[in-house]
Amino acid sequence: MLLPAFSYERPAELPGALALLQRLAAAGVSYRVHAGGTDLVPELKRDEAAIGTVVSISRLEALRGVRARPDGGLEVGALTRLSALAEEVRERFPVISDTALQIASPQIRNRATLGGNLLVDNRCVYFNQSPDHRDVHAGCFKAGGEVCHLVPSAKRGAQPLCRARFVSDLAPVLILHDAKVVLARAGAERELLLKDLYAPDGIQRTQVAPGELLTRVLIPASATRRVHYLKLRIRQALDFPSLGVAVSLDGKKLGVALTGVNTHPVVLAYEGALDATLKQACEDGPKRVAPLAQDFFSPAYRRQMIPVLIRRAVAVLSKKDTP
Amino acid sequence: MTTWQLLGKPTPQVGAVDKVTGRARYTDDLRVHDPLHVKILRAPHASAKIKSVDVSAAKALPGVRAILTGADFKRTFGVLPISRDEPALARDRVRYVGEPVAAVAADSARLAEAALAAIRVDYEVTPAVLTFEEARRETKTPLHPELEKSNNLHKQVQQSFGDLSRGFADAAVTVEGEFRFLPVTHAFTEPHAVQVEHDGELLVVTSATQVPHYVHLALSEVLELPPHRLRVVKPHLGGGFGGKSDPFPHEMIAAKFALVTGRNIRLVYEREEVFLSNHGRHPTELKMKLGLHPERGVTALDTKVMIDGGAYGSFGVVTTYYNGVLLQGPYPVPNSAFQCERFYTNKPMCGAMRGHGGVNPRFASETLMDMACVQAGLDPLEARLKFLHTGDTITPNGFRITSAGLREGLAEAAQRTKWKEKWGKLPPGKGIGVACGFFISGSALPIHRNELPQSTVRLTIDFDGGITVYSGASDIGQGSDTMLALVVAEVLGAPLSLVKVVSADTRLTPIDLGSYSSRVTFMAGNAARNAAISMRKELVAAAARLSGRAPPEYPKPGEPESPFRLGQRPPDFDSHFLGPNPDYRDGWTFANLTVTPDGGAALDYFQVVTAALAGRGILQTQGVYQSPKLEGGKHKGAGAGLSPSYSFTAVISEVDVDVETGFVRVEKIACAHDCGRQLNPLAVEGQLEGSIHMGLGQALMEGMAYEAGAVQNASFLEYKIPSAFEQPVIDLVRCPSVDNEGPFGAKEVGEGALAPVVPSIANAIYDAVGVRLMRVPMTPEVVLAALAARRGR
Repeated sequence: MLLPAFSYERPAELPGALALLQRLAAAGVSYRVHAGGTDLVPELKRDEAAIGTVVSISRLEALRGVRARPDGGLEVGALTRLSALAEEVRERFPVISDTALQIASPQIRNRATLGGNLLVDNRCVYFNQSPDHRDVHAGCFKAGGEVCHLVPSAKRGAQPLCRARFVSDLAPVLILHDAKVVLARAGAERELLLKDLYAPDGIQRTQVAPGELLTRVLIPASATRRVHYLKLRIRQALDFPSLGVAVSLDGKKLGVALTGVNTHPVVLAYEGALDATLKQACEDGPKRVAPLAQDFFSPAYRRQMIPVLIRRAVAVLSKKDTP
Repeated sequence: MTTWQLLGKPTPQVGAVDKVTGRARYTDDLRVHDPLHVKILRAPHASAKIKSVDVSAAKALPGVRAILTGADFKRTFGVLPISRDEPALARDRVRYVGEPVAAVAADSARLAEAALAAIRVDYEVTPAVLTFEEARRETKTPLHPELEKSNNLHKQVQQSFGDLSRGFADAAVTVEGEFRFLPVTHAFTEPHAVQVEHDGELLVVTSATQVPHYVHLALSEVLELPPHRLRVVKPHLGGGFGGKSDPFPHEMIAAKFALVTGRNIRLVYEREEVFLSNHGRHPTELKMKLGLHPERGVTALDTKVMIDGGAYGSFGVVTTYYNGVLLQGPYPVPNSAFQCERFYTNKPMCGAMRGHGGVNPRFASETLMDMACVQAGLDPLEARLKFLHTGDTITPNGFRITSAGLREGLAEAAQRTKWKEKWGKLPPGKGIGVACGFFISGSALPIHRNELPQSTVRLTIDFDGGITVYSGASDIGQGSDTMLALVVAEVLGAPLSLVKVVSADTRLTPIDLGSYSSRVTFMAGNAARNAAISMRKELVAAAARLSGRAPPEYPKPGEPESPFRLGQRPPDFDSHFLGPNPDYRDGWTFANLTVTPDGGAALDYFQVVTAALAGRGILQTQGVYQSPKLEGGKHKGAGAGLSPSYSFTAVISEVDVDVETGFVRVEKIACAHDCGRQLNPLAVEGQLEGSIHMGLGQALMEGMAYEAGAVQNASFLEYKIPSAFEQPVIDLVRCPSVDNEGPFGAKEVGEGALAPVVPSIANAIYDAVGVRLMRVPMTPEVVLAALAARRGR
């Protein structure tokens, strides 16, 4: 497949990049930010929709790398490659490192970035197809059409309109670390809890406003919190999560974040005796998600596996507890 | 036995360095001069009438040089003469989503793609036939009205041998099952590609194909061009597995564009288009009943199969037979019946895929074998050991089994895996299972009935001593070029570096029928060996002159004492009978570039070559392979599955089953494959590891997902081929077997090992968790459902 025609910008400095994004946003030009490109380029090749501009941020070295923060936490540039992330956070946050290494393949991790994984486009069997295939099953809402093949009753104006599923592996793990993202725009920036970044719709996926750029991820330190992540997929490489379950334990607090089974990460928080909170999480998890027939595994199976993986993750964390 | 210098030692492929350094040129890498680029418009409907195709707007676009539609091709084609039912471009109607409808040749791929959007096709959508139930139904509008049938049955085969009811009466236990298999596809690395160049009157078609000869024949017919105006060349090729063993529409389209425009043509498929072309393993529903006696083995086997062929014939008639006839091994089956029906449906066609037709029924028979053994209180491995075919056997349907060396291999595999200590004794969730298989080494009958040898090799030695092997055999990554070079170098005592193989070029190389049905080592290998022995005779004559000795007297051929010993018939160099597997002891030794008479002084190879060239300028010999005339039987379809030799395989799988998630982890596989004598153990290892990997994929995860006839997972991300993480630890066990007719005793290794992989995993799952799975792939959900059903009972 051939890339469609678009204009291409590759600013050298962050301020220039932000100014460019602001200009494009103000002019109403459709643009996409290109970091590692492992998700974007295949999508561009498949996309029939006209793309105005692709803005490559690959020269913004300031957005690359991991820095220690005074509180013992880390600040990670959004452009940090997944392979570098896995390497550099291994000591402080081994679970983040392990999670990064469960993404895609070594070759892809050498291109793909942290920011790209957090903002990875939602996926659906009806959307991630060639234009030719969309001639067979009419283009869906996300592809600019007027139908949802998964929820045929959906009409424009419905919330959510699109059920394409959220597939980031790192998001649930970072959410349970109370990570924040920094969204920069020309002359200003704001911090947002990662869990608040996402919107419950497969098209309007995030709170990133036109002209804004995700520049950094802030991961606070915690002496007591431990997180574990389990990824369900048929192959132990390449595949996006059919279901991803992150679990955190912090004293009396149990946190659960689910990926791959809804339009956005689903976060559950409990406090109390572990027996009770665990039981509750296992009951709530399957109810709080909306898996649809858009993956290798059936919706019922993915639901059924939620308590299994929550229990297993808790078991791993509890084992680590006892020296 | 002569001691081998090169054969039997692990030898890397002759093109290996070029491949890993990126120097090897595949079809897509060729830079033909100033080509037109072709893109294909494909049908968005599974079934529709084409009311009109309007290309006028597309034709008017800048850079568009020509457009083809179904009206531009008068003749349909197909690899089998009995089912030439496929058009290069659809005429009147489309039969599957993705069927080529029109094609554009333009100055760039981008312009061609843009022009596709400007072609207007007016379709009248008609009801699609997508399931067996729909295909069986009476209809006035079958997919192929030319067959004059009132339903969509393409081919029906029935055979029976012995007395089935007596066989079941004879059995101590009888087991049966209904099995279902999803369609799987080859998933080779290199997408289809073709480039066409003009060379004077000659049309040079370079294509990623397993079968240059058949492509040549089909092009000639479809283009209505005399065969001598065509040359088909296969450069380096990135995998086929049966998926490139048909002539394809894109080859017809590209060549036609070359004729119409007078320009060079380039056409390269996207991955999605490869999935739409398919030709993979047929979706299958299968009922089987097996009777077993603890002493006499399988007493009866009754098989009823339905296979979903998709829109066209391809190899389907052969597949239909192979679903039954390959069950005549690996154990004697005195009483059997099978029926197989192939249906046309509105889906991309199915065809030949590694293990052709034998894989799905093998799953059923080896699962039932396991069940029967358990019921009869037999150890399933020991029972198999006991019941395996022995060599020198004729099966009830007339297959002549020459060598059979699996018994020793399976016994060794049992020891190495500690089967006795494990089977039935592992902790819950852990299991071990065994299954066996049986496959052909090429088909004794060619697709086109004619008197040509199935493989011919031309061999030359030039002034510099360089040896060139000319063979039509297609190296598709399996290493046939290396095999040819090794065989010739071995006979002539030359280093591999002296041998150049020129292969798969229909103008330069003599006919070999192609790389399919595991025929190349057996047939082209024998042809190469025979050419080399003839060459040896030339060199011996020259060497005798140089050393003042009398040339040796070669014996005349005698009749073999038994049909199993055709290979012991001595060679007759004068009548060109050199095989099938002659020895060549004539009082001379060729080794390390010397030619030495018994009890005499060594002569330098180059000196001998110079002497042999005197007055002739070139040394040239030929060797052929033609299957012995095998009787088979008198029944209809007796030729199906008839092969000069058969391979045997046993696979032992060890699994870990997660009862909460249903995930099956195949931890270890031991594989004993009787491929006769191993000519190149490294190539054998590669083929077996590949077969195991492919079997693992079909067993656990692969399946084409269709919705309304459209392939929903037409990508390597969504069509799940196992990754390196899923590949088990593999232990390959040698079988001490020598085939009398195989070249140097060898037989097939490319396909046979795949089939038993799948049921060995199923049988291991039974050992682990006690459920019998009859749905393939055995995904975690299938496993969980079976566990839940057992708990519910």
